[in-house]
Amino acid sequence: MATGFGAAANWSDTELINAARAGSADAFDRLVEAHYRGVYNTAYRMLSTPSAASDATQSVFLRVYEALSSFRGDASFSTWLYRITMNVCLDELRKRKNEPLSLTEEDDDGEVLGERDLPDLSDEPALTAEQRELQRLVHEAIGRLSEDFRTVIVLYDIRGLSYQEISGVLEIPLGTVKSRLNRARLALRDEIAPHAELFGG
Amino acid sequence: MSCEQCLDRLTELLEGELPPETEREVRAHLDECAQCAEALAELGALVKVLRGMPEVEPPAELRERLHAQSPAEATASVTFWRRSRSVVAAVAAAAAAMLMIWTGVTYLRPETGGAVMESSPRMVERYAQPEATVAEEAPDVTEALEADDAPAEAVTPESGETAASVEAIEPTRSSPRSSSPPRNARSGRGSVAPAPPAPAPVETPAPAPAVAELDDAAVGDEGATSDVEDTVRGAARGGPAGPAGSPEARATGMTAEATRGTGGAPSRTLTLPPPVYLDAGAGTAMKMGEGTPFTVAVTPPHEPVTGRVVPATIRIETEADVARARVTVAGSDDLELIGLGADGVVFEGPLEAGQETVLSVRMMARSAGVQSLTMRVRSTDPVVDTQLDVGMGDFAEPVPAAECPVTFNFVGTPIRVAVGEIVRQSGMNVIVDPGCGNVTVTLRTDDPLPAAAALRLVVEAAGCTVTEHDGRAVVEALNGER
Repeated sequence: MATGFGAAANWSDTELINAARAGSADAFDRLVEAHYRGVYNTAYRMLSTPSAASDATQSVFLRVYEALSSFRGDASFSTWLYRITMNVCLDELRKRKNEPLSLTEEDDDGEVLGERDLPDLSDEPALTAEQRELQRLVHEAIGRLSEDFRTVIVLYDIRGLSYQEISGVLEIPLGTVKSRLNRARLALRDEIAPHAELFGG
Repeated sequence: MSCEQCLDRLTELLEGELPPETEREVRAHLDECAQCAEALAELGALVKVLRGMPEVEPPAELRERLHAQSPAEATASVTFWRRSRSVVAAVAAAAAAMLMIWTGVTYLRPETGGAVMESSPRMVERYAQPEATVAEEAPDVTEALEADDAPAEAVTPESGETAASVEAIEPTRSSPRSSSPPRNARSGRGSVAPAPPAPAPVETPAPAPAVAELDDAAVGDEGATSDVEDTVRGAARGGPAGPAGSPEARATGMTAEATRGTGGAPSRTLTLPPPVYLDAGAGTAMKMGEGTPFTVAVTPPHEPVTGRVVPATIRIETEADVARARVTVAGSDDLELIGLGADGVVFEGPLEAGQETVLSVRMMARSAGVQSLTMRVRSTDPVVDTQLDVGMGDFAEPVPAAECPVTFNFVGTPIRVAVGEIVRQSGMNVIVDPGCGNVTVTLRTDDPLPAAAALRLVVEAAGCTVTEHDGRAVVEALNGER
């Protein structure tokens, strides 16, 4: 689990942003390099499929690029990037509402099940098939939650942001973050209820 | 307390955020209410699963897409260095000066505008500029020429004029275009074995100076920053080539753009010791050369198989604070490093004494056999340049995916999940037709099975069928609904 999007090994985000705003493409490149994995992972949990996550990641960095000049530095770059990521994801979810497209229907394209669809677990201790199935169930269940619930679960429980950070990203009061998280977890539990026996074990 | 009130507080209870008296009330309710207690247990288990959700590796093509849309593809000048007198400039200058020292050679190449067209239309528009000839810096001429099929002209440091004219085209921050230096160009050096002491760090027509010049500005003197900045811009990645190596050539480069305060900034000569070559035992901590503050430990890939991207980990520790260190790596002949620029930089920044810095290097071996990683650490203060060859293991051809042994224990597992598990273990390429629906399978292995056989078993147990198409296994419902 990661708290931030990740840090550039070479330069601080602030240095890179200043340079990127001054027109340095190289600095922008480094920003992308440092953060795209985090953006992709966040989008993947929000949008459920790798292809949607890839598209969203691309949109995010386009928006970042266009909005660099408006980045004030009063929020941390990470917060700002999460906000853009969430906005892109929520836009996509709203779009989906109009053209009814569920996760399972998307699978109906006969998408290739390849390595890219599956988490890279090379560093994970061996997980049992059940644990993986559980993760898959939870991943899919997140995709059935409402936008608000999905957002807090992804940010708090998966990305590991603090209440404070989430409050900054979503621009909602801290108390709202807390209560929404509790309701989101309960809703997710209900989604998974049919498979509750997996949790018992 | 009602059930509703209790449920409202479960997250706070789990996170340990409740005031003591409220916690007592909640716990009192939980003692009496089996339903709420169950909810708490399930929520706790759920949170555990959520926190254990793995980071997913983005598809490789995403990185390419992002890179293709990057403005770097559409611009040439590295205006990164332009912020005169700022910390960025000073720091960048120091780093780039180091880069320049070790580069020793630049090469020029006429740029065609066409390369930009792959970028996103919006970006191209923003960066569209008149055609311009730009120069690129590459670590090694031979390498640059090999790696690039565009016509390229090697320029020795003496050809300062060419570089100067290039510099002159770049008067403002809006920039001529260029493509970035060849990506993934590998070092032509390729000396793998515990090398004999001190081969030239980079093979160049003009020998890289053992004694390098660093402007005072490069180590932080503000007065000369602008000079260095201009020179340095050339040395920076993708920027117009400031001639490197020879002080005369550099002077020429500087005159091209009228700079203030060029009146012969005092130079200080620093002597860089020749690189030290050592053969480190894989995984063991190793001092990086005599008199250096660096200790490294390298963990080679767990599974050294060819044709796959595998990670190795480098841990660096320093005894003394280092203001700025640069760590670069190069693979042996058939070891391609993934996700690194041509310069192979894996780390650049300050190192704190006693703090371990962990770096991950992803690599892919193109052929079977022993592969190694050459790792180099440089810093200006203290002045260190040292090098280490580390064995990455004996790479073997991977077992074909279809023969890869898999094990599983499926209990009422949906076919998609079951097939996904086999794919994950073996790397087989499988398509599941949606017509298979939500059928489940209950099956387990006693002994590992070859993936193709396992797939057949699982698929048939679920009442579906598997056929091969263009090297992919296709799983379909028996009655072929689609």
